[in-house]
Amino acid sequence: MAFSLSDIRPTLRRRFARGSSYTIAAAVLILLIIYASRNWELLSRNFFNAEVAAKLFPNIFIALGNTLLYTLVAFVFGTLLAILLALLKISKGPLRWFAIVFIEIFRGLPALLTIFIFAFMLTMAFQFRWPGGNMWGGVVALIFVTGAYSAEIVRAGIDAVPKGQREAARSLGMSGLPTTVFVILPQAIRIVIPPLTNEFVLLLKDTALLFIAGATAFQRELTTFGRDGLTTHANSTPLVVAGLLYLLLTIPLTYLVGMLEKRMAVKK
Amino acid sequence: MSEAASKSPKLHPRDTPNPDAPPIKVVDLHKQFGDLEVLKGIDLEIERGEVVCVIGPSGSGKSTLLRSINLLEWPTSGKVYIEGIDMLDPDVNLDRVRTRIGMVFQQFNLFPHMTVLRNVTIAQLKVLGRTKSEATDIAEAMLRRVGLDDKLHAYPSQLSGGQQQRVAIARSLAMNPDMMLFDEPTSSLDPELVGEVLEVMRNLASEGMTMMVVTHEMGFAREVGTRLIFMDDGQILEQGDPKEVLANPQHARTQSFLSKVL
Repeated sequence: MAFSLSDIRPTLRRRFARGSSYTIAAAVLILLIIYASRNWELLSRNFFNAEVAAKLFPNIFIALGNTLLYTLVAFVFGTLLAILLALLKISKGPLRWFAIVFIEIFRGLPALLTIFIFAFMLTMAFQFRWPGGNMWGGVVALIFVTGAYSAEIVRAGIDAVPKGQREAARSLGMSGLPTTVFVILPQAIRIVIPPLTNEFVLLLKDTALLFIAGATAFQRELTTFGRDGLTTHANSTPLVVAGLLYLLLTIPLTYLVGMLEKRMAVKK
Repeated sequence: MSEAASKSPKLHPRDTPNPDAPPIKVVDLHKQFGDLEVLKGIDLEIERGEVVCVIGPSGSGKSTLLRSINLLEWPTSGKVYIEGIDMLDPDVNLDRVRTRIGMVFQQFNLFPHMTVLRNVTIAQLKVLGRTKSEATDIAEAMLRRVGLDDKLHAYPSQLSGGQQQRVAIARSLAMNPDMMLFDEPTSSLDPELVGEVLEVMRNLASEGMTMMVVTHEMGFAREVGTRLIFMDDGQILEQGDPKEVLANPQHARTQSFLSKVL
């Protein structure tokens, strides 16, 4: 293989530049830690208090489970809703306008307000109770918010499927619906797995907003649990532990999706 | 195949093909994209068993003509009849007619998320209502015909371009079409892969399949074609016996086109 100095130089320069920026970042981090460690006693008592942390277990696992449950329910139904909205939006029928208005409203409202409206305002206006309590009204709100956001993602995915795919299916005599269901959507969903993963992580963190819906003791998700712990123990450690558990959920997910994408590369 | 046909829903008389009518008949076909007139009044009748090759410079409208026949492009005006069925009659079951018109694309357009077998069975299952074992048997037979029965479980991305195009042909054949449309089937293939696809098409022609082929393969047109059509600027300028047209082009534009490609 032929090479010359001019081929190598840019690589070396880039490597050097990257190396030095890592070094600077590490140095800054170490300085910050050294500086903060002078206040370690104060910090550890309030934020990293082992005694308080120990009291959180095992109940915090219920909160962890709830966070995961609310996220999964909102994600699964939200994504189904998103597919429906995306199909309506690219359709030519009058329901197209329903989809457009729905998406604009639930993408535009802050999630916190939407949860509040669903949990309290709607129940008051229409005099009903959410089965399972207001908390589930909040989860329905998250389904709508995720549905509105993901609808645009799914629509972009459908647009990204080559036009020839629909033509091939139609020329085989497949009508519109089977073409969409068996040919277009499976490819569109594969294309949008990375942005949908992003949406999943955002949703996971947005379940923290469910605190406003007023959870019973066994309905609390991680953040509500952490906030309650903060009040009970007059100590911030519960919030730190809750934060670590969020990372425990999101980081493996990133790797899982990466593996999934690699496995599906052959089907593209 | 008869058992598969008996499973399909009853055909309305207007959807019933007439065996005596020409497979393809096009009358005064016009197609406009905005201000651009791509087809300027095409009249064409193709008899059963004919292999009609369409040549012409790019932008001459030959692909648009082909795509108008199964209504992938909607004509601006004019008529298209498939086996006597008026394709532009809004009451005609277009999907049903399309099952009898196989179509092969320049870009193959295999479904990338399905195995070869699934590619060849999906429309049989969802459109013709064949059972899974029927559809699989037919798929295997068709793939054997194109020499790819050892690739049943491969995905399209694992095949060469020539293999993909042969699967695409098998996918169309599995629907038992009465005619096949080919839209530049070898134009996106590496030169060494063109032969295997033309070979499959040659076999099809010799079995009596009615074919319309938009192509740049003059050798194929000369040896396999029963008729050669030269199109330019949205019109059929010249047509006739391929050997005749290629040897003695009458129209000046045919002469200049052939002098560039031959």
